[in-house]
Amino acid sequence: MKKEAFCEILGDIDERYVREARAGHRITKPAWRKWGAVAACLAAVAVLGTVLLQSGIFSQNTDVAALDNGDKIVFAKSDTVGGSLSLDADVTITPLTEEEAAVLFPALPVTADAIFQNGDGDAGASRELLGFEGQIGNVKLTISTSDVQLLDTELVGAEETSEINGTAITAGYSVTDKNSKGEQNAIYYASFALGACRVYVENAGAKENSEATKEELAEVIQKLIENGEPDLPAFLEGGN
Amino acid sequence: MDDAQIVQLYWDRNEQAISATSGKYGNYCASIARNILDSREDAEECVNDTYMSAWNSMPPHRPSNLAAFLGKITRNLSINRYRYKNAGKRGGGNATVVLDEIAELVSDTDDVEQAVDRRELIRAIDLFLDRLPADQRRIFVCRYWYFDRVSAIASRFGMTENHVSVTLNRLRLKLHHHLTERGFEL
Repeated sequence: MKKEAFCEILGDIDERYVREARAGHRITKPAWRKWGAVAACLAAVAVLGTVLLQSGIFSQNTDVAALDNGDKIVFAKSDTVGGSLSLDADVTITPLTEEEAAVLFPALPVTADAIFQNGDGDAGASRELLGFEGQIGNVKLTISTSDVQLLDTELVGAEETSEINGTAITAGYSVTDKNSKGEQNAIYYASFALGACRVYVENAGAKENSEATKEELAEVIQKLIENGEPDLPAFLEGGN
Repeated sequence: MDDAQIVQLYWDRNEQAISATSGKYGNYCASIARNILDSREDAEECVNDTYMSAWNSMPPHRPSNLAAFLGKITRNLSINRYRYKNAGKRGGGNATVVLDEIAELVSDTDDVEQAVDRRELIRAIDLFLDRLPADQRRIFVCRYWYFDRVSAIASRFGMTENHVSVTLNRLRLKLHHHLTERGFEL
């Protein structure tokens, strides 16, 4: 598609957003309100999730990936993979070199950016590593290494918790609506902790290829967990 | 005069509709045209053409959001004029920079244009915008609907220009991922 054609299509977005963009000025919320609201939302999701899981509503809508070590990941069907958390920070994005990617993610074909929060502008103010965003093959990867969550997809609705090598994994999947050609895509996602790092991975593909999409994601999850917590000190000592 | 009254003037074929529109939305439309067109004269002509187009569109249209309705006309007329002025050559100025950013989202070839269902694509973009935090959504719309300069967005939202540029870059990547994930070949 030509850029001019896409630009014209952008002109047809919902008028609410056009009006909203010119309405008033930005209101900066105190941090405690922002994270308080996030905590409240997560608590609400947790309560809702518990109620729904206990009710058995989602118990018949699961998809399982069996791993070669005998563990399995249970993906619960979800209506949406939606919502976003705002990254309200002044950041610098730096692509990882091949060497850095190999240090952080051994034996995985990772292409990713490191995201740093800039200092406050004072001389000598250091920058803080917030995390990484990128791809492992087709799999989308987001890792938050600080209290500032880079996770741009809030897990909404149903998830199941599984364990691989003692690591708890929350996983789910959703299927998009049919497009004009009758095609649907399946999106598998999972979230887990590696030490102090919070990891989110997501893989999407045509619905008829969902087994391959799921297996690819499961392999990435297994490998990430086998690698353990990314070696952040080595990465940071390398001049970052 | 409220918007419903202005729209009614158009439906009554009352020429006061033009002056009422100019008085209330002239600056709004001019700001959009000037973001896209470097020439002040071209921008003024597009705003005047907006009033004429509105006159020809109402009736049958009865827009519920007159500002967005007029702004969209101005935007389309200005983009068409930009393309006409820069046909076959690379233009300069703000619009060229914005279009270059939009080019990062698409192949910028004609190959797949016919294959994409326009309404589905708009719905998918709306869904993407709906899921964004309000501030990020507003920044995106300011840049890619209004063609606002990065400096203007930084001023409006109390951010540094670097922060705005990084945010826009992340939003473009997210939108590209959102659309390709849903099977759109751009």
